[in-house]
Amino acid sequence: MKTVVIEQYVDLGRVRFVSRHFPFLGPESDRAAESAECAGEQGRFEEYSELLLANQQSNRNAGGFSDAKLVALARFDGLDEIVFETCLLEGRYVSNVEDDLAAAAEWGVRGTPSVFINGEFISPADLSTVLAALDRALAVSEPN
Amino acid sequence: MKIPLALASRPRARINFAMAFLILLAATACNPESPLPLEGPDRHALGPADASVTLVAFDDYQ
Repeated sequence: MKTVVIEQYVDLGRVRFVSRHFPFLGPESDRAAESAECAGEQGRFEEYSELLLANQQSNRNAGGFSDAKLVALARFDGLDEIVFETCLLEGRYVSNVEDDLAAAAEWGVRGTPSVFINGEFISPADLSTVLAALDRALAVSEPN
Repeated sequence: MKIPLALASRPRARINFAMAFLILLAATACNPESPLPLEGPDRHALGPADASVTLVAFDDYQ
């Protein structure tokens, strides 16, 4: 969904896409979110997030996103692995993830993905529904 | 909905119960789709900050 929205709307300058965390599936969800923040510290949030999603495991909280695995995923050009690992071990961005969780609770988020367009909850968050909702929102904001 | 026997046998309490129910119903029905404020950090945002449409996605990586 994100890739299509970015290609068809964000890259054309029509929509802003904001990614926020809602780690609700256990401790490895928390660590994965924190690790994405650590990648973001080095300007590599999007690339690292894609790696996380591409490496999802069917067994949750079974080591798929252990700290060692998260650090291993960070071995790519443009990311300083040592800085990344230090960030993760220090828990440098725990509060960022907690902030997102608090916001999610305030917004009534109960699962993922949860999508809001101009503050309106979109359900279900499948591709066709989200694209239709984007078109409706754009029709209002860009009447011509 | 079952009304407790104690309420059913007391008209005043029954009215209070009905009023509370109606107030709750009205509060729920009062624009349940109202947009949420777009507050909060957008640390990880793509696209122009002044875009007229903003999509916020909450996700879990697991």
